Amino acid sequence: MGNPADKWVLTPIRAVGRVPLSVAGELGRMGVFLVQTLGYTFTPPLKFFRVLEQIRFIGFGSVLVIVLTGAFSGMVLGFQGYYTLSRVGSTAFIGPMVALSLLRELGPVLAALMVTGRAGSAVTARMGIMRITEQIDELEILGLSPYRYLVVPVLLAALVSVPLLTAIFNVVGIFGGYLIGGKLLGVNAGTYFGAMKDYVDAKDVLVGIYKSIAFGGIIAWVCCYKGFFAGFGAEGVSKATTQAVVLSSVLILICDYVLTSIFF
Amino acid sequence: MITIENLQKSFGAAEVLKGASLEIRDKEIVALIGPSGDGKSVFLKHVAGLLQPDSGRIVFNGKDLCGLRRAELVELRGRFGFLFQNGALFDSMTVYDNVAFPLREKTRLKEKEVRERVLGELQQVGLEGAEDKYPAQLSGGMAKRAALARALVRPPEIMLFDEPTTGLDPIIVHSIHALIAATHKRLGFSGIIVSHEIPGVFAIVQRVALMHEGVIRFVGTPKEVFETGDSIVRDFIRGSLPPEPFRYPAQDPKQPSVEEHSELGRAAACGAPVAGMAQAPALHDPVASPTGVTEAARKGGGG
Repeated sequence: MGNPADKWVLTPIRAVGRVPLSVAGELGRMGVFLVQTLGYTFTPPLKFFRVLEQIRFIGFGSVLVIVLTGAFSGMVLGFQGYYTLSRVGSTAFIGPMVALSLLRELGPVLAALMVTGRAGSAVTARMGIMRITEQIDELEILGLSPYRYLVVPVLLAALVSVPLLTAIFNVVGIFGGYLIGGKLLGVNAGTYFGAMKDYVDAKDVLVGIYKSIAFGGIIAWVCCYKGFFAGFGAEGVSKATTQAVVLSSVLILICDYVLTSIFF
Repeated sequence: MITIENLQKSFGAAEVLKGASLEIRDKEIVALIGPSGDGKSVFLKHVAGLLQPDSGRIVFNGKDLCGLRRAELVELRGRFGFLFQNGALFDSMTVYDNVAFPLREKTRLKEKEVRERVLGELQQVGLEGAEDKYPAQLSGGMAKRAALARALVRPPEIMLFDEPTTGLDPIIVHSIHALIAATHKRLGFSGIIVSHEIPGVFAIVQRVALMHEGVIRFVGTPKEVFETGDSIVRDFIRGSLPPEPFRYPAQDPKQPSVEEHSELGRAAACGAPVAGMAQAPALHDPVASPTGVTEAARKGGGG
């Protein structure tokens, strides 16, 4: 180690190699966590009431924020769509434009990002606090699997809740678009909804649902993982929560791109 | 009952356990003492199966815990109790639900029987009337008692205590020790208690083990701790004992100021003669009474 060649050649190479090694290690741990979670998901007993509890927290608890963001997203789309389409004299297509934007992309993505911010961060923080206060260890001592008791209910609840919340987001967004395009800017209701019926396919709705299920899985996976292995103290939990929200959001956008390129 | 052989564990570059070995006999409690950061809690978590050693064996009733499949380990854990340093009570549940949790999850008892067992256990630890409180509403001593009730509601064969009295005032420390001694007498478990309460904890244990730099350096009775020739053990024990108490004459008109108090205290702690200060008899003489057990503690400990 005293060799100067080591210092000037090997040290920088080690430093460069440390980053991909750390990323690969983290991905490996996340993979193992996912496999273990899926293992407990498909083996009884299922903590049914814990799942319901989590659906109430992740799903019902997010309805208000989803309605608000859905309404304003639809209203913005109504404004922007109307003024863009009016340049080419096609304001009659504002309905399909708002609906397709929401059903295919904005609905699933924005709803998932809102759930990440509201419920995903809370899941990470709660699990992180349970980790640092040894409540997760206590579950193990009592002979209960923390995966079965804590992680699986969140995963199932997210897989159920996020598509439903996305549907609410889409419906509210479409009516928000109508509020602006129809009521404020004068597009006829028949035109708005009629054209939508002509241009929106079942595939658009289905792909949106597939995406939202995938996003629900990502939120549960990343947020539970980060909380489950949170570092020490308040700083560890704070760092885990930030990482969970950032990583979930990035993965949602990457997954959205991949699914869009596969399905369309 | 339980034999720990040559346990080794590293976290990254930090080698925490360097071949720690200890034997816990049937129905005995061993106090695990030693400097902070020398691996006592890590050792305890290995015994509970919460951590896996890099090498070494933990043999419980002839079975090596390190080689067990997960299902076997879960089954075996049902025979262990663990009192964590901060209690580890589930903060979203009331005291009642915390204590009832192991019964509801791991037994098929009816809710009426669960209620009887929970209320009985809470009474044993002196927490009647606190069933509806949440952990955040409890004092440190109450939280430890609630956690103890939860650990004991399904009587364990092995009970592990991780610094059960850290951060508590001396009176509560005494009452927790008495409670542990009473439950030990009632349930007859074997156990390890990690503690810095020296010599207080010696009153409730049968043997003492000292961990030093990742190995068990000394094992013996509380009396033998004070008689050993091992300088590291002697230094640790001497450093852990409370300082010699001192008192000022009650009628002394020249009562020292607050500043003088601290100066006098420092001087007394160094063994220097202090003018105007009465030589009070030692409240606690560990050599004369190696276990440091007072009559009151014995009575409380006995039940």
